[in-house]
Order: sequence, then C-alpha cells, then structure tokens
Amino acid sequence: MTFPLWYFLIPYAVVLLGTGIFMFFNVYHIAKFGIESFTTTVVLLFYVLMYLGVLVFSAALIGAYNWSATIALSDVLPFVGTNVHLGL
Amino acid sequence: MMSLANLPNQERNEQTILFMRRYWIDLATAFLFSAVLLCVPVAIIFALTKSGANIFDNAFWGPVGTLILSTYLLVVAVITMAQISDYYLDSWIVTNERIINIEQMGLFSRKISEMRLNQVQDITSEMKGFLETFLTYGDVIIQTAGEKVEFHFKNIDNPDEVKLRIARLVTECKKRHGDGVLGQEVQQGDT
Repeated sequence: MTFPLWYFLIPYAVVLLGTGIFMFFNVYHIAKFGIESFTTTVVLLFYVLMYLGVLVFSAALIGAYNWSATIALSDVLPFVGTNVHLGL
Repeated sequence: MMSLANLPNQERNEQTILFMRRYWIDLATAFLFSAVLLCVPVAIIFALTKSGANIFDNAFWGPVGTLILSTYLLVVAVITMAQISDYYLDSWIVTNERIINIEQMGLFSRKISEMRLNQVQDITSEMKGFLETFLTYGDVIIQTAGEKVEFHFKNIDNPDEVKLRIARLVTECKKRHGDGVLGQEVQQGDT
C-alpha cells in the first residue's frame, strides 16, 4: 500500500490556519486594547515578524522535499503486511 | 487603541498620574520559557545527528519531521505571543479621581473595573522573598470599605512608592469630594 507524501500537508494546513487565527487575535487585542504608544507598534511588529519568520523558515525546509513522491506503508511501519506470530 | 490622555468616561479635570504594568521580570520569564521550548527540537536534532541517524535524509521522516518541527515552532510562536499579550494588556491606571484595573485573562476574556479614590479605605504594599526585595518589586492591594472590592496590583515596580503616591492622591480626593467610605459626598467646588 502506497500513499503520496502531500497527504501530510493537509493536517499541516489545518495547523497553519489555527495558529494564523491565534496570531490574528493577538494582533487584534494589542491593536484594539493597547495603549497608544511606540511600544505598542513595536509589539505588533514583533508579532508579525516572528510569525513571518517561522513561516519563511518552514517554507525553506518544506520546499526542499518532493511532496508528490509516494511512499509505501511497509517502509514506514515494517510490521504491516507480515504475519505476526504471537506465540500464545 | 486607548489613549492615556483620553480615558473612557474621563472627567473634566481628571489626569493620569500613574500607569503601571507588571515588573519586567514577568516578561523575561515568558521569554525564558519560550527559549527553553526552542531548545527542545535543537537538542533532539543534535542528539540524533550525534548518534548518526540523520532523519532529514530519510524518505519518510525527513518531510514528516520537517512538518512536525514547523508545527512545533508555530505553536511556540503563538504561546510566546499569548504570554506577551497577557503581560502587555494587564495594566493599572491611577488618575487624580479613580483607579482603573485592566486585566486580560487569556485570549478571549478581559475585565476592566474601576474604583473612586475617595472610596479607598486601606492600601497595603507587599514584597515577599529574596528576588522581590532585591529588585524592589511586589504587590499593592487596595481595598474599599464594606463591599468586598479589592484591587490587586501584581508584581509592580516599587510598591512602597506607589502606595505612598496613591495614599496622597486618596487624601487629596477625599478633601475635594468627601469621604466615599463614610458616605460624606461633597459637591465639586465645596470645601
């Protein structure tokens, strides 16, 4: 049994969406309830840069692999497809 | 955004005297926690490389490990942001008329309460432990009479000084408006 590697990108997309929503709410809270000051701008900039930094770093790592390649389940889980004798 | 020069329900002659956040050590602790979390994958990758198992070259664990690493980093980034937001949005404002307590509880809960200075009955400052005494930070607890209203300024810089300044403001406010604790309200302008 084989499956393409890009299947793993689906749960990853859900994680990206979830963390993106959390990041948005953090930025929203600071922008709406923060005190009008230069520090607030710095905090907002820090949030955006930190999140973008992680995304760029991840994109560089993820982009190095061929996600259309397929992989056999037996390569990942060696016991799949073999008869396991429990010896009971 | 909120402006200190234009507070919600601000009275005509009301001025902001003190604006406080928790002491910087709380923020430093949050950053330290994130730094420790960041060290975990670095340590794991280092240990695996040292043992000769280069997972990033593996056809399965390479891409999957990358996704796990990226997910972990995103979660750490979000945790760091949540901690900074919690620190940054927890604040206390003391004006010449009232005390405003703003508390951010998690990402979706926020509490703003206020107390008039002439209702204040008791102010306590507290520094407990070596670090608080050494770095002069601690708590200030402000109570009104009767009702169980209590403002707790947690981990603020120089609590003794803050207590003295608030006590002075309370005395001045009571001179202007009468003692809110005893119910002797005085109209503005009366002496």
